[in-house]
Amino acid sequence: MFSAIGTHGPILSPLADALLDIFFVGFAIMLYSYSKPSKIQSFFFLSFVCIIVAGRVILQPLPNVQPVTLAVFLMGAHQGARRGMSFAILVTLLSNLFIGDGWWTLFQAIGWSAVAALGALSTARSSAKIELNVLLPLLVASSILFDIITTLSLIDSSTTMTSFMSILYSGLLYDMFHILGNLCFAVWLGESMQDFLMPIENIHEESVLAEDLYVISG
Amino acid sequence: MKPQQSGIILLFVLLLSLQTTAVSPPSYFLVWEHQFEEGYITTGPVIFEETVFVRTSGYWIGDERPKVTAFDFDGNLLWNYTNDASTQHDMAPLLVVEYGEGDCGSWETMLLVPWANGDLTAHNMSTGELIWNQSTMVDQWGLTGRAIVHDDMVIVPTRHGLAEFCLADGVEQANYQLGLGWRNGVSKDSNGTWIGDESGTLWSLHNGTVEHFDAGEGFIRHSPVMTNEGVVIHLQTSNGSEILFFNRTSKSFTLLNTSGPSPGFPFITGSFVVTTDSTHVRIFDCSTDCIQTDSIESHSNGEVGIDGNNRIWVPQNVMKGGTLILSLNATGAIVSSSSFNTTLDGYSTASPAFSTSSDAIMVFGNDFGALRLYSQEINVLSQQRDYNLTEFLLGFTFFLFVATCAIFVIKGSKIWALRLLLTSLLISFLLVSPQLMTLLQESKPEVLLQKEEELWSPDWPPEWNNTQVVIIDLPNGQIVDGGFTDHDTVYALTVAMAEKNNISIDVQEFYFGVFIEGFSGVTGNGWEFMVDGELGEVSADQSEMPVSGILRWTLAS
Repeated sequence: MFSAIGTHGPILSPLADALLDIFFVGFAIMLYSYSKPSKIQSFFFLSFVCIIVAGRVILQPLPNVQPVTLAVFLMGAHQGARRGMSFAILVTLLSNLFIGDGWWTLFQAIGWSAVAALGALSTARSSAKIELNVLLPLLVASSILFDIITTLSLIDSSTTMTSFMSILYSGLLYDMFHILGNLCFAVWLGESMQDFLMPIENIHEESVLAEDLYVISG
Repeated sequence: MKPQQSGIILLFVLLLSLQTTAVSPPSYFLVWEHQFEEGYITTGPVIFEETVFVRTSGYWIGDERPKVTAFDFDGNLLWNYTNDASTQHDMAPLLVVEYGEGDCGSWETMLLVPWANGDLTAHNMSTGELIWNQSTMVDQWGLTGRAIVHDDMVIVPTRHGLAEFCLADGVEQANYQLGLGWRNGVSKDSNGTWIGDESGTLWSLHNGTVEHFDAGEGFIRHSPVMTNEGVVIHLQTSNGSEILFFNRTSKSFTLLNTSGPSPGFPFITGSFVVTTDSTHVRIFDCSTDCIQTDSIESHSNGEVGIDGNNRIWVPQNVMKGGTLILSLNATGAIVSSSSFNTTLDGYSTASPAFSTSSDAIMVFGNDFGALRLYSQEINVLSQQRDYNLTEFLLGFTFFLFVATCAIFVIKGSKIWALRLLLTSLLISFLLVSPQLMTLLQESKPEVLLQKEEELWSPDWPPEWNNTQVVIIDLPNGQIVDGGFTDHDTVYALTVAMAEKNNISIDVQEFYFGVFIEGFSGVTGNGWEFMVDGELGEVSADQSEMPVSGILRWTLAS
């Protein structure tokens, strides 16, 4: 399972590439706007996008060691599936502008969106911080989920079950780096990221509450 | 202590045990190491008095060029000489010539260096300064085989035959047009001068008379081995190799044995001839007719060394192979075999060199460009065992991580223990990722191997048969070239082919290997390769290329 490098797929024409990117950006904005974010929330959100994009680009020389999966998972957990997916798409698109854009961008965006959805599910019944003993196993699962989805980008008409299994086998080392990298980021940065995301979440809750009060008083 | 804490501490202990550095046999200790930034060491270093001479070979596409470098026994660089005109793989052994005089003058002790661009240079041993320089004919490459000294002449195997130069001034005294040669060293005895060629022909020159003898279909890529009764050659054939004995009296060949592919250089010690290839080391008693006395499995395709105790050192041309050390008894049977391994084990064809003045010194070079000097006298020369400062610092840092981690566990701070444990694990795996990649590839289940038959094209010239052929599938057609030999890796072969055909290569280097992004500006989604129909799954510089095979580059789908 490759995700950082070595991903293949159909060669997209510049027009197809641009259309795909436009579709993604539009979809991400639509998802993000759905909950009517405030300016300050948007500022925090975009700042976080920039930090994670920078982290991914800077860490590119290390195979599959990148903070995106953790960030996307926590964004999903604390901001909900829609914002998590929006965040995942924007980070994928922006970072791939530096690392390399192509067919695989679609699968990476889908993969990380799935991770955001998983994050949202993990806190569906609780708004509290995720404890490490819960976060770490979920991150391992998220890494594997992401890797499987991105590996699908390698399937073409000549791919057989054997060749697909062979591709999966060849990517095992990269998967291990991805998992280990995510666990490292989680133990070092997980708490700080949650602290960063919690105020945004509170702002989000406060704005919803204010909206509700306005409706009641109105 | 809680069970979890005990478990984690046990894990630390296991991790610490992984840090134990592989050490050489107890009698040898690493004194120093020099890592060449560019090029391989494919030819054995040479020791003269207290100086080590070594040459680097490679595929030179940037500013770097092949060099000969001299070090003293303390590892200090004495001099180096770069041949800016040589751009091919320089693999001819270095030759030390002691001072003397003859009909064409006198000469000082010097180092003779044959170059792939056809030059033969003589150097002052202390300074590396050129004493003289002569050129020979080049046909893709020039001098690649072992030269010898006879009286006041140096006899050099040239691309098309052999030539003799006066040691005193380098003036050419004779030149013979024989067969086309590659790494075909020259030998001499009282019956004349002997050399093989790429057509499987053994040539003999005696008093101006040239004779040639057909050994069969194949290549002779070594110096013929002179025995009491005849000549031993190890013929590289399409399916493997044949070890042949040429009887000087009857002027006929006898097949001694068939063996594996890619023969190395046969070697004689006493009356025993040692042959190597990709499957076996074989020992022959050649006191009269040669008879095989023993054999052992091995993968060696280069030189063979012998130390002061008559132990035979056979470098293994596989990852983690180390060097096989064999001892023979009086009848030529292998009585002991052991392995000399270091932390830098890798593909190796260069034999170790042993100091004639002191058996305690041994010098090793390998395909990773690492040169190491070992000593048996740890108190005299050695400051450290088989690791260098960087490795030591890395190991120490890792130890600190793990030890600190253990302290945090004992103190009850699980988060810090986890942080340090996971980080040290990640760093460790990243550091050994090339080895892990190779290990995964080697242990890949047979059922998952993707193999398609790569067919020989009838349009290709017959001289490409049994050589390395490269196909680049560009969108507007194929570029095919063949006749390449002795390129050990897919990357090396690709660079050689691209250079020859003026194809530009876009390369990106990652920590775990080299990836080709484009040929002649065609990038697409990158390029992937197949060797004999098998899809490459590690980087091109880490994929071994067989001595004959078809390498195909295609745009990644």
